[in-house]
Amino acid sequence: MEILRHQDPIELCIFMPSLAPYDAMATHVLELKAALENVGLSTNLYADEIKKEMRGEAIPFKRFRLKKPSRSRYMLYQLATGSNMVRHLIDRVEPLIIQYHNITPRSEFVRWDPGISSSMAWGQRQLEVLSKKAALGLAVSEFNARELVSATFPKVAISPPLIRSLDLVDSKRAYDVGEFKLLFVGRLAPNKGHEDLIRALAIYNGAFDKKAHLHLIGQTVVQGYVDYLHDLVVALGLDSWVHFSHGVSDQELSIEFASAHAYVSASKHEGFGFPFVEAMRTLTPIVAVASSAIPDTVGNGAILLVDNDPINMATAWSMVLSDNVLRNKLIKNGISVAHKWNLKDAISANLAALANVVPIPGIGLAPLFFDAGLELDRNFGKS
Amino acid sequence: MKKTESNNSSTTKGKVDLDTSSERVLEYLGQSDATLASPDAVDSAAAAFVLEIQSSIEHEVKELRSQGKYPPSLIARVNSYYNSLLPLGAASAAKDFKEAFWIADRVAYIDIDVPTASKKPGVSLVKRILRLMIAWYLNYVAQQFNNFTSNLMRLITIIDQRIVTLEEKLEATDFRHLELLDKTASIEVLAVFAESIGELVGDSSGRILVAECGTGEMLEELRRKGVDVYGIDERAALLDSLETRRFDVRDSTTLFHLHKLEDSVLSGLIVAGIVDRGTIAERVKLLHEAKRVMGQGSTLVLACSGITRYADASNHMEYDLSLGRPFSPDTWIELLKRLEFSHVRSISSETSDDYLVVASNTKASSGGLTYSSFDEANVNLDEAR
Repeated sequence: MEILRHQDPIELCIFMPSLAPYDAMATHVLELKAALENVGLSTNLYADEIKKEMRGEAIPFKRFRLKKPSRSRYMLYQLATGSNMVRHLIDRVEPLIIQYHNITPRSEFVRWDPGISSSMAWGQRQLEVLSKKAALGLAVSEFNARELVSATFPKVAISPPLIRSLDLVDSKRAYDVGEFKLLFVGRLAPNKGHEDLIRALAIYNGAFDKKAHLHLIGQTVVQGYVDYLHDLVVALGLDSWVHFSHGVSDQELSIEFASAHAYVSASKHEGFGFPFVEAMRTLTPIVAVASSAIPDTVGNGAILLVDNDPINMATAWSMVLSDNVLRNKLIKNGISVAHKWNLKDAISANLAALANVVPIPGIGLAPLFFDAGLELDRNFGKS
Repeated sequence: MKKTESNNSSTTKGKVDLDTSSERVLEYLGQSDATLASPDAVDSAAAAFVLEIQSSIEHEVKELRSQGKYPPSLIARVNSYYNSLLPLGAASAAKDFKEAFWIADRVAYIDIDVPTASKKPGVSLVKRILRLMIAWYLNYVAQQFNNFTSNLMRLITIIDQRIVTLEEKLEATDFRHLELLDKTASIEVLAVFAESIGELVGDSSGRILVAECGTGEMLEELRRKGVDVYGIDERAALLDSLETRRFDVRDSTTLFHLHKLEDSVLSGLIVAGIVDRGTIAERVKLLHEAKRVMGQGSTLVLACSGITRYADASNHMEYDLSLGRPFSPDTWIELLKRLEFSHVRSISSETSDDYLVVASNTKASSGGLTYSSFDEANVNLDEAR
């Protein structure tokens, strides 16, 4: 058995498989790291893959693998997909905490790209493996927390995502002269339901005099799906009305939100849904299909549709775009809900949730969402 | 919430404030917490707000449909592209099976020839030695896995053959023919009985569906009586014509539409067409679905063609393409009674041998009466005979 050192100050190591720019999870992790450092914890961020733009922000994971165990070290793994990191982390003796950002079910991908769907299945398998090892599961939403409980994590706490506010920009809504702009932000992956938005747009533009543009911002995940979306746009004669873009900076994103008349979503699966909060913060009314974690995230700050019926969707859009009373109510409700997700409170909630395992000076314990009643094994490292 | 105005851009344009400056955002954000609803209050109010909005959407959809904003031909065209462009497997199309099967077959075999090439000096040699050393082990594992996948592929092949056989049988009994017929006898039957049916269901307070509404005489009669009525049909030309007359109509088959409805949502159901031309199983399924979607106290009306229409030369094509033998009023009555409809009776026409079968749904379905199989339908029918 290796000998543990215990004279060092408390160290929290955060792990994430890939650190990339323009990524909500990266934003969350960097904010969390800064918050932990502010309360005096020595914090290091390790990533298996570090994109060029983020090289100064993280340490390559292979350097952690050489570290000797330490009694004062805690490990926090950010889980959203399958990763080679897991097999190394579960072999270590330091307490492990999982922060779960959700794994899209394999079924959403398998018909489009069986290869990519395998990584989802891998992530699901690792979630089960990690539940046996982890001292605590942190979930960014109640929806995720329920999944952790299902995966038999012994203790689960809620730790909302840390979402930076976009800079507010002065921007008149786009297409002011007789046309509307609808916005959706999310990876081009089948679970996001872009095709349902495009279908509803075809019906909306076919039915109403004042037409709408649909702006879809997000990286390609499944090429076959993207090809299908482009074919659908052409077949429905929407070439001039649907606009794809990706890799936008925070400032560009801010302008996109500020210039949109409504934020629309037909996503079938969201672990939390960062863009919904950004929409509410920028006073952009939301119309979304009520799936997965979305109702928890938006509360009464959005029109929630029961399914992806294109007529209901187009009708809800038209209501939001034409009824000022409804718009203002949604905007006001949205501001209240967005307030719930403010960065300061979210940081406090994350620290309090972590404090259930990590001794953080001056931070009280957050109540657990679920407790199986097993004692946390803090006597790690003893043979 | 204020009732949403009809979406006519010319009337609402002036009222809509779509501009959001950063000052306005800050104004909202600057409000003290006291002026904002507390998170708990938001949580408790959210469910009520969501339901209220959904109800408004439903109301607005009805309004817009009746204004002809959503012509069935537009919806059909959009859905057609939406479904036809889906890639391999995503549309669950039978034609995709073969290609998906061959892809699966190709990847179902694994070999033990692990690549050993390397740019680093000496590594390739080490890899080759390692491969040689553990080949016996890899071979054993690979053989078992390949055995398993081969058997799995054989199993899939057998299942596919069984499904193809089933599909061939179904195709023989599932010929969709209504699109070949501009006018059907059932349109005349509905027109003949429109007034009588209006008297039967004209005082209903809830929604009434006219299945296979044809040229709209029944819709017209019920609208005249102030009934909340909508229709379905498969013939796009007829539907578009009805839309221009501001009727709420949808492009759907009767069974498909009923299947999509929630339990107990209809206050009345008037059915034509399928009662003449459907297969026996389809007609039995119709009754099961009707029982499920009709609310307590609602009325079911089946508008059936009399036997002499079958001899009428103008209807020959329609009846040539029909799959089932016509039911007599007695058969309908017996089936309806077995499904616990009450006050079941037939009403004859004074001018022809067309007839109505009318039943009340005094005992609402508990939700367990869904039609589940052809066997069930046949058993019920055998019992009825």
